[in-house]
Amino acid sequence: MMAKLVNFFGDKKYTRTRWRLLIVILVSIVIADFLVARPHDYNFWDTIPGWGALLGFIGCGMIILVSKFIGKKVGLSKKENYYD
Amino acid sequence: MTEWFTFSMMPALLLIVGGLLLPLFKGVSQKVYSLLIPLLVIFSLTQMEMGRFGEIDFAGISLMMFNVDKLSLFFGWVFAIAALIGNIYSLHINHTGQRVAAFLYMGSAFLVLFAGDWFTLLVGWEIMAFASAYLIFATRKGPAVKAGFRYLMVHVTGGVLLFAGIVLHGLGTGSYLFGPIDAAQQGGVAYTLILIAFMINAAVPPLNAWLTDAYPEATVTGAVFLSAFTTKTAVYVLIRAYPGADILIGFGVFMALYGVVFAMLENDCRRLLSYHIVSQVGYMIAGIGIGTEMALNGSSSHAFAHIIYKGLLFMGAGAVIHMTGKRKLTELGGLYRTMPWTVALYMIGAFAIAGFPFFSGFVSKSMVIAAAAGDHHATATLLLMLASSGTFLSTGLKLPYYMFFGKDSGLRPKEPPFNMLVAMGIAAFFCIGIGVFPGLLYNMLPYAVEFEPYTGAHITESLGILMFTLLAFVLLLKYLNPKNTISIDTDWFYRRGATVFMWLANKPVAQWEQKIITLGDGLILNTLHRLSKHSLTVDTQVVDGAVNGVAKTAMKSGNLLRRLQTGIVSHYALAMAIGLFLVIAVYVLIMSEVL
Amino acid sequence: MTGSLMTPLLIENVPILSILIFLPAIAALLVPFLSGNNTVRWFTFTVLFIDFLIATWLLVIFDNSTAQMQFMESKAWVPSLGITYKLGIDGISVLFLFLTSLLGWICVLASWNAIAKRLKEFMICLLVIQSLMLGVFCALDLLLFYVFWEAMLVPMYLIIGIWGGEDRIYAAFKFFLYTLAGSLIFLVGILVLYFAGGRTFDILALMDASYDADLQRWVFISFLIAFAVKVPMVPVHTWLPDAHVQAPTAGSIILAGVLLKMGAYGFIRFSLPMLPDASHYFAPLMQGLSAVAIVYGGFLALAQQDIKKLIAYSSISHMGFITLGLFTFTINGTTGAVIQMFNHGISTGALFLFIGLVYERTHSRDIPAYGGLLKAVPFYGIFFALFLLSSMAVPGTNGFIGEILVLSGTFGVNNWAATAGVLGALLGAAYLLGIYRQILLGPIKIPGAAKMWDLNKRELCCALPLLIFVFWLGFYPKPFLSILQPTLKHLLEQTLGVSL
Repeated sequence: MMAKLVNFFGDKKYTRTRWRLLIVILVSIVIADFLVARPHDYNFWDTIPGWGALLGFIGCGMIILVSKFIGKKVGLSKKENYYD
Repeated sequence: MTEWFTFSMMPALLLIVGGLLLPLFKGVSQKVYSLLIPLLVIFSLTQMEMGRFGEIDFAGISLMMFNVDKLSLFFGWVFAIAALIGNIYSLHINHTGQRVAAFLYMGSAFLVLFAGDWFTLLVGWEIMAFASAYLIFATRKGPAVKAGFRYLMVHVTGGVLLFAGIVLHGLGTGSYLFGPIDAAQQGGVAYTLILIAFMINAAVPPLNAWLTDAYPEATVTGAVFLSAFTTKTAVYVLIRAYPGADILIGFGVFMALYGVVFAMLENDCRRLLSYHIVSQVGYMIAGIGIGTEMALNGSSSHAFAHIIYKGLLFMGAGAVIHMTGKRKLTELGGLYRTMPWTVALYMIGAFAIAGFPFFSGFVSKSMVIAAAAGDHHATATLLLMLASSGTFLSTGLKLPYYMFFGKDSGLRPKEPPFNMLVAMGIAAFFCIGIGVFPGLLYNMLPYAVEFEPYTGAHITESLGILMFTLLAFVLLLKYLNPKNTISIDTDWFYRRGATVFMWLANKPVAQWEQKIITLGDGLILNTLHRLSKHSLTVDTQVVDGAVNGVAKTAMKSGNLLRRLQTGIVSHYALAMAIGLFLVIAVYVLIMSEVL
Repeated sequence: MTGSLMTPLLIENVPILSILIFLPAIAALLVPFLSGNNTVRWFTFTVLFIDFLIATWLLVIFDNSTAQMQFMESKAWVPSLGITYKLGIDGISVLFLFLTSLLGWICVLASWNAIAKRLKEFMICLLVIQSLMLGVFCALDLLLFYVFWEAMLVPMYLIIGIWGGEDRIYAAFKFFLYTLAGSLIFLVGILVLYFAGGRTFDILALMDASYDADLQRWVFISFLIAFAVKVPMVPVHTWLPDAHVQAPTAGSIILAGVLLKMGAYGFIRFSLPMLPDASHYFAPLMQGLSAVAIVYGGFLALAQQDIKKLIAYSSISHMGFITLGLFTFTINGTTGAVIQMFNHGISTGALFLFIGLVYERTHSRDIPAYGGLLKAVPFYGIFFALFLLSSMAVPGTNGFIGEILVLSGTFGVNNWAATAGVLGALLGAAYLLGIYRQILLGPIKIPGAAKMWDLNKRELCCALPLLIFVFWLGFYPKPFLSILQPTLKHLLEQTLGVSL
């Protein structure tokens, strides 16, 4: 039973289904964000709908870029046997 | 009488004594015993009464060994649960030493938790260092032994700093009871020393390298214990001793992002998870720095949730290593086909750490972030939310993708042993349970809770961050292929730096010593050599002039020694000395006979 | 038993201290008449064990409430010169009598198989040196003390010189001459004090007298040279590494366990109470030299490949802690120093014992040649590891108590020295953990190591008592501290109260 669920996420033949599911979820989140009540607004972004989505997308991209940068340019990624 | 009973039921004692008695049991009975003790600990927690007790006078210093209150009890509960889960997970191990070490480790962690005074804390702190080091040495492989040694050195250094700080603090305040360190002493030496020692154990960068260096080298089962106790004990002591210390906010936020960025560079799956420990502890540290009641509640509940879901993640990764023998993401992939349960349980942990609604991370992490927002730390709030994205990215997306899905490595491992699955299942149960019924957790928190995690805004915000991270991940997938590299962390300083230190010991100091030796040899021995030649004649005459029996003995021993000498220094010096001594003795003897 | 404070305490007029001291010497006279090596061994062991029981009994019946000397014996020796045969013990000496007699029979057990040639002579040396060492701690007459102190050199010289390693003659002579040089200067100081104190050698009387400040300083320096060589302090320490490396196991145990303590004991018994102003004057110098010893010894230990030399340098570092504590003139520092003296005797004695045990099996002292002993001989490994922890002053062990007392006494008096102490503790952790890693962990490298036998019963009997004290003192130091308290308080009063 669990195998079936996991296979859904693994097997290639479900790729298109997975994409469709993802898009549905993403869209509903953004829509829901417009609809929710906002009791606490400490910061300017608390009032913007869709803020979480934006942060997640851009933030993720930034993290990937920064880590790649640090790895290559600053030279922190070394061969495995650096210390030996 | 009742105090003795309470005393003996202290979890610390149960675990430490229980651990020392463990070798008496063999085989199945040992395994059963290893589950009974944690259950006993859980029972004793239900019976515990609040308050300070265990007053002793130690070398003129008045100490109060134990202190049970809401905070320590709260941490005690999660430690007990972790103890049980960890032992279920390691049931298949037949190595007694590892089990004993784990018990001593857990027991000493409890000792620190319930410590009422600094010395009890220090004793627990040191035992934790050594017991946990054993879990790293236990794999017996070269890199593990070396990593374990570095681990031990770092922790012993921390222990020495803590010791010095405690002494100074005690001298300064006159009290050795464990409690908040006065903000008025900020900048004081004791304040800094103890803070550094605590920060070492909490793995605050730049003092974090020991964790990411050693945890991946530990045994599969050992790593589960390690992930739970050392850092969270440090969080606990920081909550108690440094609440509201502002620099912790900066460190905490820096940590949260630092861990996430480094995790992205990692190829070893457990090192990736180790960097996540650093990241998540960052949330806790930031909360401690903020210092409001909600923030401290947040740190505590995050610690609670973290122990369980981190344990689950390490158990999952450990299961993969156990079944495939491989730990690098470049060598894994496509495992979902044959270990679906492991994948599923791991993903529950991943959702928990990311902070998906209805999982434990959500109800704890959002409390910390809300506390940050509520206390008007805008940048901190923003950065912590950013770190959430990174957390999901590396733990919930990158690692499982390259380990379980992704390119097929051809490996087809079966599910891990049943006990490991059961342990993971229990952890997963808590991950979901706490997420769905946060009230149960909130009731145990040290301060009253006025936080409502399940508001519409919180849910959509979190889901937004997480799901759009997923989107970015999928779109940028081709940039994320793991490579076979290691990343340099701050341990570079002492790994390279140690050679400098040793050079210092070997060259300059040793050469100086050689100079002193030659000086001493030359000066003293030559002078005495010359002296002895002159005094030879006087000396032998005096000896000959003494009472017969005594002289004969002197000659005999002189002969004996004459046989030994190789001519480096004249033996006449020796005869002179013997002569002198005997002269005095003889003279005195004669004089006393007269009386 | 507790008469008025002025009455010396005797047990029904039995001269218990004389018996304690001379029993081994008398036994030594009987040894030549024994036949058979095993008989000799058992005889020596029994005698020393009986001596140990006497010392233990003294410890048990010792009165903790007073700082006065107890079990005193006094007999005029050469009255015209003011020399008396006077013995007595206080809190400090009773503890060291116990330590010395404990290590005595342990040395016999440790040498059971190791010493084969000239066994009788060896046992005679052990017995004689035991008598002399016990005498040093009991002597209350300065000349009597000096006789015991000097005489110790001969049997120790023989032990190193006859039964030692390849380079034993050099090491033995070096030991002898360094110590002798110091002692001769000591004699000069003694004579000066004799004349200044009213022509008496009585230690208690000399303590009560007060001396001119300049005189004190000269005498202090002469005493300093003698004690500094014995401790040993930097820079007159160079005899110790060679002596340790060349000495047989029993020799090292006695050397590290007791002989080094004599130097510190000298400071406690003479420099501090009799020369208080000079002690204060030179305190910064002493603290400085101690700090140097702590760090210097630590660095040199780190650089060693020979394990006996490493422990020798670590001894120099540890003794630095002791002299530091003594010259802080605080109750914590002084208590810590005396406790550390006891601890060092136990822990370092144990370390040399264990090094000797493995040397007997492999004939190598080279650290890199070892490895994996924890796997090959697990009991040995665990015991060894525990003694390493004790030497590292890990909480729960005896070393922790001593170090924490010394450091809490030093912080506030001389923060630089205290920092040196912390650095020394770190260095200690480094080289001791280094030993742990290289000798106990890793792959087994010594050929034939797989066939090494683990601790046998005899060796266990040596190790267990020492281990008991490691943890007893570590967890429950109260009994030891209560024995020392009145004596040390009195000592501090003597050192601090009398100042101009």
